[in-house]
Amino acid sequence: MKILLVDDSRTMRNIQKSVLAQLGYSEIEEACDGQDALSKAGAYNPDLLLVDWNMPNMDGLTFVKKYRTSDKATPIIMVTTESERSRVIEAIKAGVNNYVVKPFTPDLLAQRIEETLAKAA
Amino acid sequence: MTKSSNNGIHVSVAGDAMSASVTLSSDFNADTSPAHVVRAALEERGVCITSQVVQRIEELVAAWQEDPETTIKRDVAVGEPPKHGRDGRIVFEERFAELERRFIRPADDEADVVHVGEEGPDETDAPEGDDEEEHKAVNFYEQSALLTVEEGDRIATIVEPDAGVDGVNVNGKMLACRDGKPFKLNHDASIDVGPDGAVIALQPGMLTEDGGRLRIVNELFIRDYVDFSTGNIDFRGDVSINKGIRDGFRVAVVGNLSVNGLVEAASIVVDGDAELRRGMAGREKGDFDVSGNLHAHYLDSVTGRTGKDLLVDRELVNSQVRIGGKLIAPNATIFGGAIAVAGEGEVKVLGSASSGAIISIGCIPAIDEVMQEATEIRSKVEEHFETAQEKHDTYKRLAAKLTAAQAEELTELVFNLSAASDRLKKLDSRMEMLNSLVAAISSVDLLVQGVINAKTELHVRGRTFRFRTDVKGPVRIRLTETGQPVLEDVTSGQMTPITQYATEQGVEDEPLRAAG
Repeated sequence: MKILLVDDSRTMRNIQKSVLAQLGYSEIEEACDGQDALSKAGAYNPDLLLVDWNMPNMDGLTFVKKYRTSDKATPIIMVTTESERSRVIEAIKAGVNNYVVKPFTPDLLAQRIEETLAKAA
Repeated sequence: MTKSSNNGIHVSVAGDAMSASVTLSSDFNADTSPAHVVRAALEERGVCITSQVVQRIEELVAAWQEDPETTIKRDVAVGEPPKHGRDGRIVFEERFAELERRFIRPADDEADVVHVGEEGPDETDAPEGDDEEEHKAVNFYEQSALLTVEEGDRIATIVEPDAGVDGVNVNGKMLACRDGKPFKLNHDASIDVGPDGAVIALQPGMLTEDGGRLRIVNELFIRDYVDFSTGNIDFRGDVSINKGIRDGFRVAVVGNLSVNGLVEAASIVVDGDAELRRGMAGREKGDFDVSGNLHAHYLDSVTGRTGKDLLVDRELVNSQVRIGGKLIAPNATIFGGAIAVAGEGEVKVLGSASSGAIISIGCIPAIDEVMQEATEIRSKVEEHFETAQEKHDTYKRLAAKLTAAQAEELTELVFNLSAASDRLKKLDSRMEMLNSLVAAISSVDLLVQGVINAKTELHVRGRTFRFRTDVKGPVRIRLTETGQPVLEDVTSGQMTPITQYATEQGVEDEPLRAAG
């Protein structure tokens, strides 16, 4: 299972990596913004993406829209501070499969990852 | 010396035929070829005419011709003495240099013998004192007089003998030289001599020379004290000290140690067993670390640890001692200090009228240390945990109004709290495991033959009891099946809860409570 983490905060990526490691996933690639993610996603061909919304250069929503033009199947979880209902709907429409609002607990993130992968399988 | 004289020319040849001289006086008259006359006179005396002799004759004649009225004497022929070859010898590495003189053969005629390749002392090469070296502080404690070696150490080098060179006298007679004799090292199987002459230690120990035989022994006997005459001792093998160990010295032994005299405020590290026949008076500076058993007449004001049993004949006073095995001191009094013992124990008296004793039974010192460290770490982690929890709670209350940065910080806090909580759980589980291990392998069984004095403090399985009154022995301190500490009357077998004589720290005194 290959997972791409897209977040401009190294701390957040480390937390996500730690949660993924506890779930048994260790094949992980990191990107620091949407542009970086786009350049890596093609070659890396991930099985799951965890994407932050607010990032420099290219935000998460723009990234998701561009990514979905070529890949409609790979599950994406948006991990963001954007908690308003309208924003969540906007993300879902753009092609996000699941949504985790910061602050989150390690258990909640683990639960969302597992349910997303289960649905995608 | 023989002389011949003729027409103003005198030829003189030394008794050992190593030189010949010619004297020309004013009577000398050789108008046509004076050099020829001189040469003929020398030949007549059997002097071998070499090119060097010819040159000297010419110099002599030239000098005479400049001033014919003056008598001139010159050595015109000089013999070459034989150069005897130097005997083979052993050259020790610098730290063993003192052994070298024991292997030098006496040679009465040494002064008269010229050796091949030997230069005379050169004044300019004489070592001059290096100011910096001379003024460097010297640790005399570290200046060990023992010649200790490790396996594979190079001890010395055997130098091959030199071949001699023949000489010749003025008559051309060859003077035979003597070749040097090879050096043969007498040694035992602890030492090897390689084909290149390298003398190598085959085992660790002390290098010794005994009757011209070089060997390495793994037992060290010190006839007197360990003091400035010996320096600190660091020996791989057994060490026996006939007298004592003086203040400030360190004895480290990979083997067993026995000391007949008093050990003062010294430091002892022993891998095997140690026997201190007169005891140790550490004056709060002495320490020991004995991996095996330690048997001491008494221990006073020392700090130390034994890996196995501690046997004390008389007193264990004001000392901090951790015992990995049993405490065997049926005739000894323990007072002052703190003693921790893992195994069973037997003492005569615990505490004294004026001072108590702190004794911990059924504890494994090494594990106790780990447990203590773990407890300290736990308390620090808990502090951080509480601080983070407070921050978390504050953020949580403001959850709806959090900025993106605060939301991320809160996520990090939650993550750290969760990780810390997991670690604490793991730590607790391991501490519990260690406690069970200590309970399984240690023993709570201390037999007191004489008396337990009031003020004695007893630590057992994490509980502390302080004796209020004297308890007359023989009594045994042990645990009941339910883990309660009791005093068992050895004579009657009757068991009494320890709280009847002692107050448990941190717990209300039961008899007082009952009385109240």
